[in-house]
Amino acid sequence: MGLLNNTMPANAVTNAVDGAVNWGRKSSLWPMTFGIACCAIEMMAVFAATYDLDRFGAGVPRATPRQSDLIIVPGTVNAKMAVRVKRLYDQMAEPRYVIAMGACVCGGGPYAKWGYNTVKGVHKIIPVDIFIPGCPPRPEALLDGILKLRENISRDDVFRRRRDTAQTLDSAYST
Amino acid sequence: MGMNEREIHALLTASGIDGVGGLEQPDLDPTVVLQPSALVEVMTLLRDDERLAMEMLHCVTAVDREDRVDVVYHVCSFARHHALTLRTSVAKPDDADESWHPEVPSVASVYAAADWHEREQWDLLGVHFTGHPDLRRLLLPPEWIGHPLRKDYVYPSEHGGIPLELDAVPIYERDEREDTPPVAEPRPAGTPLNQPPSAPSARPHAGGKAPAKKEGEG
Amino acid sequence: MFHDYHAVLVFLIAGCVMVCAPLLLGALFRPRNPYPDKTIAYECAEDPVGEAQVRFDMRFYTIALIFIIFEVEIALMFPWARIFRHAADVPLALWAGLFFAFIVFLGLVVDWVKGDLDWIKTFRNKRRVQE
Repeated sequence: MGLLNNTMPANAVTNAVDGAVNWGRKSSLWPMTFGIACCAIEMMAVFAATYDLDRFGAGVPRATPRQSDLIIVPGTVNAKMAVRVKRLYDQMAEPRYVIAMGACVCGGGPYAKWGYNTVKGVHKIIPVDIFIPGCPPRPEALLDGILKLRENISRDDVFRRRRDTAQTLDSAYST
Repeated sequence: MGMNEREIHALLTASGIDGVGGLEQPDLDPTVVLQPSALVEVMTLLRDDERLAMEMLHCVTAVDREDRVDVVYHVCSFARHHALTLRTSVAKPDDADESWHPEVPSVASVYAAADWHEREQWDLLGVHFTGHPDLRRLLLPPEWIGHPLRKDYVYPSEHGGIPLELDAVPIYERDEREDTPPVAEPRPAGTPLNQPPSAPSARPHAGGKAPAKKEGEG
Repeated sequence: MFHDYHAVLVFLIAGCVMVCAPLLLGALFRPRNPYPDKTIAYECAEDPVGEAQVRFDMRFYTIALIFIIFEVEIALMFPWARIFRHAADVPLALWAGLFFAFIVFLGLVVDWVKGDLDWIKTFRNKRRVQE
C-alpha cells in the first residue's frame, strides 16, 4: 500500500481527510462493463435512462479493468469464466470493489446443488463487498446495493488505522 | 397439413431400408425406432424424398437409460408442415464405465446442424459419432474429464484451481479489510431468519447493552 | 541583465511545481500492490498472445514527412504574404513567390503520381523487382 495508508490515529483532522477521500471515491465509482448472463440485462437497465446510474456518479462504465473501480459480477460463473473473472479482478487497480449480483453469484443460485460446472458463488474466487440476491434482482435492488456500497466506502479507513472489525459489525447490526 | 407420423413411418418401412423398426407410443409421442446402421440412409431419405422433404434437423439429444443409451433426432419440414422423431439405441454392456463410449454413425454429412448437436452430446454424454468431421467438446472446457450428464458421473470438487463445491473455501487470501463477515457461520437454532447469523441475539453484545430486538418482523 | 525576466522564472518554477507535486504526492499516497497476475497485459482476461510491440506502419512516416514539407512551405509563405504590399518590385515579388510555390507543387504532383499519397497501395504502383 501507499506510504501513509492506515498509519494515523483517528482524530479530527484524519477523520475529515478520510471523509473527503471517501467522498471522492464513492461519488465516482466507475463500474466495468462486464456482464455474464441474465442479471446483466438488469444491470444494463440500471445503466440506462429509467433507473439511471449516472446520478450516483457511477454512470461512466469503462471497458477495461485498468480504469474501473467497481466490478459488478452479474450472471452464473462457470469454471471456464471463473478464470477470466479472477484475472479481471486481479487487473483492477486499488481501491477496487466487487458487487455480486444475482442468486448464481451469491451462492450458486439454481445451480447450487446439481451444477457440475458452476462456481457456487463468486466469493469463492474473489473477495466480494456487496451481495445482491434475486433472480434477477430488480434494477432498484442493484441501485440499493450500490448505495450500500457507497455507505461502506464512506466508513472506510484510508489514512486512519483500521478499526476493530468486530466492533464495526456489532454497530452495523444493532440499532 | 402434412403426413402424420404413422404415414411417414409406413413410407419409411416401405422404402426397404434395413433397420427401420417400429413406431413407439403412436398415440402419445410417436417415435420411429432405428438401428444405428440405418441412420444415415434414413436421414438421407427424409431429407431428399419429395413427399417428406424434411429440411431441418432441429435437435439431436441423447438419453442415458439403465440398460441402453438412446440418441433422439427431431426433424421437421416447413414445406410439408410435418415433423418426426427418431431414436436409435446402443445397449450398455455390463461393465460399462466412464471409459465406454456408445458408437453411433454421424449424420453431419446429411444435415449440417448435426455437427454441433453431436459435439454437444459427445461433450455431455460421451456418445461417439463415427464419421464426424470434428468431434470435440463444445460447452465444457476442452481439458474437462468425464461426461457430466451420465447417471454415474462423479462431480468434481475443483477444475483448474477453481473450486466447484458448495462449501468450498475461497481461494484468495483475505486482506485486512474485513468488512464482510467470515464464510459459513452456523446459524444457531432459534435465530429469526430476518437477521444475519452474527446478529446480536445470537452472541453476546460487546458493548454490554441489551440489544433492541425487532420482534414481529419478517 | 535579465531583471525583466524575473517573472518568467517565477512562472517557470511554479509550473514545474504544479506538475511535479501532484505526481509526487500521488506516488506517496496511492495504494501500491503489484503482483504478477495484475501486471500482465490486458487481453480481455485471456492469456496474452503475440508480441506487445506491434510493427509500426511505414505509411504513417511517409504521410508525416510529406506533411512536414508542405507545412514548411506554408510557414515560408506567410512572411512573403505579409510584406508583399510593401515590396519595391511587386511583379518580381509576385512571380518569385509563385515560382517557389510551383516548385513545391511539382513535388506534390510527383508524390501523387507515384502513389505515395494512397493509403491502400495498388499493384500498379508497386515497384517490381523482376518483370
